[in-house]
Amino acid sequence: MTLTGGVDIGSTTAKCVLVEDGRVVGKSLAPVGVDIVRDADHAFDEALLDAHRGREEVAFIVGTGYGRFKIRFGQLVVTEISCHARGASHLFPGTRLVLDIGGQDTKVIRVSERGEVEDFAMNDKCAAGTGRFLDVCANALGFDVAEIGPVSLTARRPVKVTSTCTVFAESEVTSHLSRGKEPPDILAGLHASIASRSLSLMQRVGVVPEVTFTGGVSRNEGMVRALAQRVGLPVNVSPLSQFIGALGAALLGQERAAGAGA
Amino acid sequence: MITAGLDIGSGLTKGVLVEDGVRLLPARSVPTRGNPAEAGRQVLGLLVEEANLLPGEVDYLCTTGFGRYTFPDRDLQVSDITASARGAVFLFPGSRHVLDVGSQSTRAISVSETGRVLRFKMNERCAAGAGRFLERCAKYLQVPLESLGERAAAAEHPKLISSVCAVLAETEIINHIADGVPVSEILMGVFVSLAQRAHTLMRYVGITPEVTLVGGLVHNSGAVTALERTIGLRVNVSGDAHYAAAIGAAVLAHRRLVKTSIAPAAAEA
Amino acid sequence: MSETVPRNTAPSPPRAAGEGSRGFLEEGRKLQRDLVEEYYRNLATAKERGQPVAYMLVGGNLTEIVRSFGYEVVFPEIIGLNCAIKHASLDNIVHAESMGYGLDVCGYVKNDIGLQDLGGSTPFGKVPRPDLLVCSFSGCYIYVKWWEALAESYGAPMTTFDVPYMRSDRPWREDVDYMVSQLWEFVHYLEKATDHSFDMDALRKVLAESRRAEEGWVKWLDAGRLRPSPIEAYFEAIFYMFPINVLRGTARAGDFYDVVNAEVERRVRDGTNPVPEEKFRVLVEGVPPYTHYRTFWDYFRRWGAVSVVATYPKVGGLFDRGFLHDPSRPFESIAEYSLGAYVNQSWEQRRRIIADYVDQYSADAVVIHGIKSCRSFTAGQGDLRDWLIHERNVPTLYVESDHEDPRYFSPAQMRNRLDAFFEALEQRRAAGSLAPGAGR
Repeated sequence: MTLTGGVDIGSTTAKCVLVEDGRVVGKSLAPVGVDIVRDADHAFDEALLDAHRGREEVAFIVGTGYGRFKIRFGQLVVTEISCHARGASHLFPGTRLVLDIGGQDTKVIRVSERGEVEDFAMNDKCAAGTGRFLDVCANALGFDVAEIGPVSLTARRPVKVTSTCTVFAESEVTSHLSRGKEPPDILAGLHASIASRSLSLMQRVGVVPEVTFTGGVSRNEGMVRALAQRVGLPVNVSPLSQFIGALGAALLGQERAAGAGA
Repeated sequence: MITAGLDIGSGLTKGVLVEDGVRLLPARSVPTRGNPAEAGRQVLGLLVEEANLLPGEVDYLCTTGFGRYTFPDRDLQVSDITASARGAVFLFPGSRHVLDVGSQSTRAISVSETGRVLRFKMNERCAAGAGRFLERCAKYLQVPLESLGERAAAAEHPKLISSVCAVLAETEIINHIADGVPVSEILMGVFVSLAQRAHTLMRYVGITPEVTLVGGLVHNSGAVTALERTIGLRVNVSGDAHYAAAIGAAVLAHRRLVKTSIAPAAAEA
Repeated sequence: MSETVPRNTAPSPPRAAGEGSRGFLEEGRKLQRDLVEEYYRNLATAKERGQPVAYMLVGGNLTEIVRSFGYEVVFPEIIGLNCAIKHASLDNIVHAESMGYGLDVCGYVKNDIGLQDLGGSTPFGKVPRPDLLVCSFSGCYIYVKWWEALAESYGAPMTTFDVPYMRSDRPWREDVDYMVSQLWEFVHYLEKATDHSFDMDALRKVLAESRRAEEGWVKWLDAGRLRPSPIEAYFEAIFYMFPINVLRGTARAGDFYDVVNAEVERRVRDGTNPVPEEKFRVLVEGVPPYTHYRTFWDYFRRWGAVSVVATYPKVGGLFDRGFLHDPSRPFESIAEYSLGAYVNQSWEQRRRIIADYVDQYSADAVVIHGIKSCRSFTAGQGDLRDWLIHERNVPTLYVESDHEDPRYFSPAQMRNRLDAFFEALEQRRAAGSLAPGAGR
């Protein structure tokens, strides 16, 4: 009956998950601003509120994400790579490969049967093809980012998109528009090109089923479809996809709490 | 004679009307939103309305910028480098060096006394996105875009941004926030880093005073101060310089119109 | 290959990491710093003394021959890394970029060209202009172009060696003969240029000094086999490379290694090691991120990770694999040494060397640091990573930044990757799937 917490401070949002006996009992999602210490605290409070529990009941807290060193109330910090591996393996025990597309980076993690990280690769020195790229494209086409996935699925003749550089995303989109291409066809092309880019990153660590897709972009059903098609394998997606880092952190907390009690 | 200049960029579409190639009439802009031709039409509509003209009273129209070929009703199109240079010399006749910082690209241009482009250098592909980068910084740091300069002024130890890619630079800023670096120092660091990068391009083409800054950055006092300190020269800035490319296009439209309308007469004579 | 690992049996008293590391670096480092200062002082006054100056590349360099003709030797690569470590490289690089050198051009080249154009001042003193440019390593074509640019701007003569690529453990006879013929050509050239006749005895004397330093250096590096390792074979070795690369052929170099080897003996006796508790034994491959060298080191230290062996300190020569200078075979041994430089080895050879090191030094893992601006050394490191993971079952991490350009080093991202890598190693060790120091 141990209650543990995982707090994931990313570039734009803070996520917190509370886990008891392997079950998620509370969660929260809040934006992150310049005061990370306060935002982390806030996310934790919200999750406690969601779970109807008090701070003193939480036995162990693990922090993760880029802002992990700013979490004042945690006992341990772990990289999001370990947390994603752990969280994805928990939700889909057959997971051997995790693809995480976040706002500014893409990572792939090969995991063992026990949910340990065997190998990983990340986009280095280039932010092409990340979540931000899709945001900018959606904006340039006048869509909300939540709409573009479904719209991309209505494409008839997907265009070929070669550059997924975020800085030049608007020019890329505008040049297709000015050649008379339809938005669904452009969107389908953009999704396919991110899928290709993701596949080449996945190949760096080896593509093995099952593949679990996490991070903000995994909520985009057009992206899930494009990825499954490009990879040639079904892709696991969880409704908790945005919380997987925090979930993994809370689960690692469970192990630590058990270890400390023994 | 009324001529129009439309600068159709990937973010904003800007337009101006110029009378007889010398007098600046109203300037207007709208977001391009993925439809450059429509944005061009909108801006033109606004300009004509503002100037109390009929659409047919615009004698010649020149487009420039990324979307310059998409606007069907143009009489002429010129590259944004030619247009920016000409616009800068229109605003500050003493300009010999023009720095144009747009939302996607940065360009250093050396110009002749008559506003002709002598040499220019654009940022390398991965170093693009300076203007847009500032907008994102404002968002992350929760400081209004127009107050960035004011906030940065307090900085004593600017935290330089090392990443060349504008998107990864955002990650760097988030990490500085996570490290507890004060907002003012991050902001000043951003300005100094942008200024240093611009300086590299400027030195490549050679810096001769006067230096004129055009493009979106002109509204940003912090960026201007950092630039002046980095290059060690005063920089011409005016609010209209955001429209420099559109102004240059309108001025070039006037020149062309004068040439074409005089040439046949001269031939007859 | 399996061999018994010699145990470092000295008791290691627990001490705080900061305190331990400060005590750890004291003596050899101080001497090294003095030698660096002395070297730069000498350089600054070379012209006043009337001593001619030769510029040379580190890989397979011909210091001994040039020194026997009385030249002072400048290694722009080493000046570049010294600038980077002192945070002085970016200004030079940006200056070179404003001259038109592109974003992706080698950082060493841009640092040097920028530095020269700005007047040759470094944080350590002024670098003299070259009287001779010796392109001793032509495996990197950019280097040839760099030397050409310097030759043109200084009007100094340039000589280029064509060094055949190594595709086997020992150089082929034909390749050695070819190199020897080029060396003779070079000697005749130097005779004309300096108006001195070649003195074989003088060369043998210089070579004997080189040999002494090389043996000392090999002995020092060998200490990485001990468990725990008393040396840091990457981060510390980077400092200790200076005498072997720059002062080789002088008594100073040999004396230096005597001092640091005595230091190693003391460390073993006192239990002063690079980290208070050695948790991971790492092989590091690749040129270091000099601009953030301490930050990068710290990412290893905080995990109790020690590099027990590294390939980069061998760029100046693979002495530990038998490529030693030999006064009794002057020209042949110089030729073999040049051919055998680590940078001149084919990928098959590099893989073999790394696999041997993993076994011999009982490394748990490999970290590869690729550098953005050097394709010549870095291309192929991705395949090396795959080969180590899949064919040798050695956990391997590939990270990338630059040796000279601080703009490519992102501290948070770099730390994230190294933290994740060591976390995973720790997990696997806890689960029993990674035997401590088992190599493979």
